[in-house]
Amino acid sequence: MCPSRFVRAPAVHRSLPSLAFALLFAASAALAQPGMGQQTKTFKIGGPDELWDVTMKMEMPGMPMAMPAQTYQSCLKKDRKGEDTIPQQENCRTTDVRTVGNKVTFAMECTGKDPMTGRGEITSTPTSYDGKMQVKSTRRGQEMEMTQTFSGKKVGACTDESEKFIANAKSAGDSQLAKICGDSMEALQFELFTGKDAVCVSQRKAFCDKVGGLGRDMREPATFKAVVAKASMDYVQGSFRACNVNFAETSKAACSKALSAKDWAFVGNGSCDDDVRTAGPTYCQGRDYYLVDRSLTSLCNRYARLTRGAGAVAGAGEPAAPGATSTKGNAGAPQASAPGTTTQTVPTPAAPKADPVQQGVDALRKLLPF
Amino acid sequence: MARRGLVVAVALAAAAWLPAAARAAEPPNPWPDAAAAYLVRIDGVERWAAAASTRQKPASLTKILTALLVLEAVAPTAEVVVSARAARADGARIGLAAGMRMRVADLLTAMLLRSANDACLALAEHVARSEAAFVAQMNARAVAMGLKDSHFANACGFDAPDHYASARDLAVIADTALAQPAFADIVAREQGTARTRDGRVFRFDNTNVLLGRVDGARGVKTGWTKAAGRCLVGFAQRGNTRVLVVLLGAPDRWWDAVAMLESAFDEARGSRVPAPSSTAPAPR
Repeated sequence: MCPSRFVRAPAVHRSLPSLAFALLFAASAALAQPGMGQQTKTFKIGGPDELWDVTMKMEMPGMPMAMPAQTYQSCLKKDRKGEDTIPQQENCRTTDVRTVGNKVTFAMECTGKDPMTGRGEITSTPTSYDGKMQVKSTRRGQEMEMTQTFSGKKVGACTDESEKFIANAKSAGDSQLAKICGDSMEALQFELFTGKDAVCVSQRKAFCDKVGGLGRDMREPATFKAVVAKASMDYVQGSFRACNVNFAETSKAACSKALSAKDWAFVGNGSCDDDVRTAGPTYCQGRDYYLVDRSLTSLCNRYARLTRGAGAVAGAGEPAAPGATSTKGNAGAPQASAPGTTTQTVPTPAAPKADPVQQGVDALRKLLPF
Repeated sequence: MARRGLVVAVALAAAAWLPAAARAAEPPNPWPDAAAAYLVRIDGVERWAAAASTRQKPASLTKILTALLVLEAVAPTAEVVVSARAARADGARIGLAAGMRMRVADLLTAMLLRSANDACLALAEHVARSEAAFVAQMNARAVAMGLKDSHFANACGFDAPDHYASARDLAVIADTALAQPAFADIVAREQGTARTRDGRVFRFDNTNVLLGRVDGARGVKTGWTKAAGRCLVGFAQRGNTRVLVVLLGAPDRWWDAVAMLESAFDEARGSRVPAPSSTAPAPR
């Protein structure tokens, strides 16, 4: 095992498809040794392997203050090779490794968000090593050069348990992933099954088989309602789309059944707008809102949503709506009408709307001295 | 004369410019015929509006501010003695008689659900000893809330030349009031009762018919006077999405409020339902 495996600070993985990678990354990060985070011990003291104290330092020209050295302990396999002392980084590969006597030279190339190249050498004895690496990188168009120095000193014996640790971490990751995929299938979180790097992509067929089944079962309004209540309409529609199942057909069939059964709560749920437009004139049109039977409000609320507003001829040709009322009308305070709400029908003129010309005059009167 | 001509000419030029400038500042107006002024806010952000800063007659929406001041001043359990003046109040009322003793909470319920002016006056007089003193407090509170287009001449919403509020200001008042749990609790009820100390019970329905008919509706208040027309502040919450609508001078306030609320919730969930643009006849 290498004495100084390290990784850069992990990137933030926000998207779920990156979860699998994140879990594996977590396992490798747990083995990460110096620098960026808390060291996780993957060995125990005493045993057949070698315990080393490692010190690492980074210098960058132009930095006002030197970065502090990082130290940690590492457990090397007894049968280690000289190149095992080369520092490892995520997204980096080591090339051109040459060993001459007790000296190892190497090149390093890193890709990804912060690409860089470097060359280094390490000189070692059975109980110590010293190394240096020159690193070049480009950030925001600016070239930077850094020098990384590292040294190790054998201080005792240990047992390397990193392989066991990786196996445990992978097993924990696998079972967590299985749970996530199971829950997500129930919730129809299609992105986890059908995206390019979807974390549950291996179960895509099972997921789409399930959606295909829903395409048939959801033709029953009761099933339709239950599925939408559990997974939300956005996820239902997204899942149908992702699996090439025709949602419109399923929805239309369910709506048709609901319309026949006068299941207005279903018809008004937002999936049956053609049926709402068909039924609305019969059950909602021309009625006072507060007189509409409560069993119809879902239908009529949707009808109002679809037909009132820009482009719709609001109330054209309809009889005047009953006015709000007052038990005593407007009798009372002089030059004042009384606020109230009862049953007397009073055509109510809307308050005058703003006149742009008058607005202009008013604005100018404020600005000009006349 | 020439000066007047100049004013008119420049005014016409300004008029041509003003609507464009107003459009840049104001949210879209998909319901141009719905109300003299209206405002729709989704999670506190204005989404649609028309003339939302113009000064309108607020009618009984005034009582939202009245309730807020009452709740800030006295405990809901405090006892109020109804004055003769309050008992004679015009318009909507529950029929209080002078000398009746009632809890503040009961009067608030009558004022907010039934829009009862007798309860409203009794509360105003209880808090500030006189309606005039209470109105002074209302105007001071309006200034403190930063309301620039509101002024109140009475506690209950009677029309008067210097009694006005904008839709935008009323939204601020409603938000502030809804933050009071006691207020939010009362305006969410479909029915209410008010009891006198000697056991008489008044029962009434909430005039806000959105409750129980619109999914997630939680209040707030209706209003009507001849000059104001039909008015409404409506509030609904679905999941974490909160929608507030204010309509002033709205001939068909219920249907339009419903359309606005439903559109707002569609908007909030990024619905692919087409924007309201159907040519089908609208419900009344």
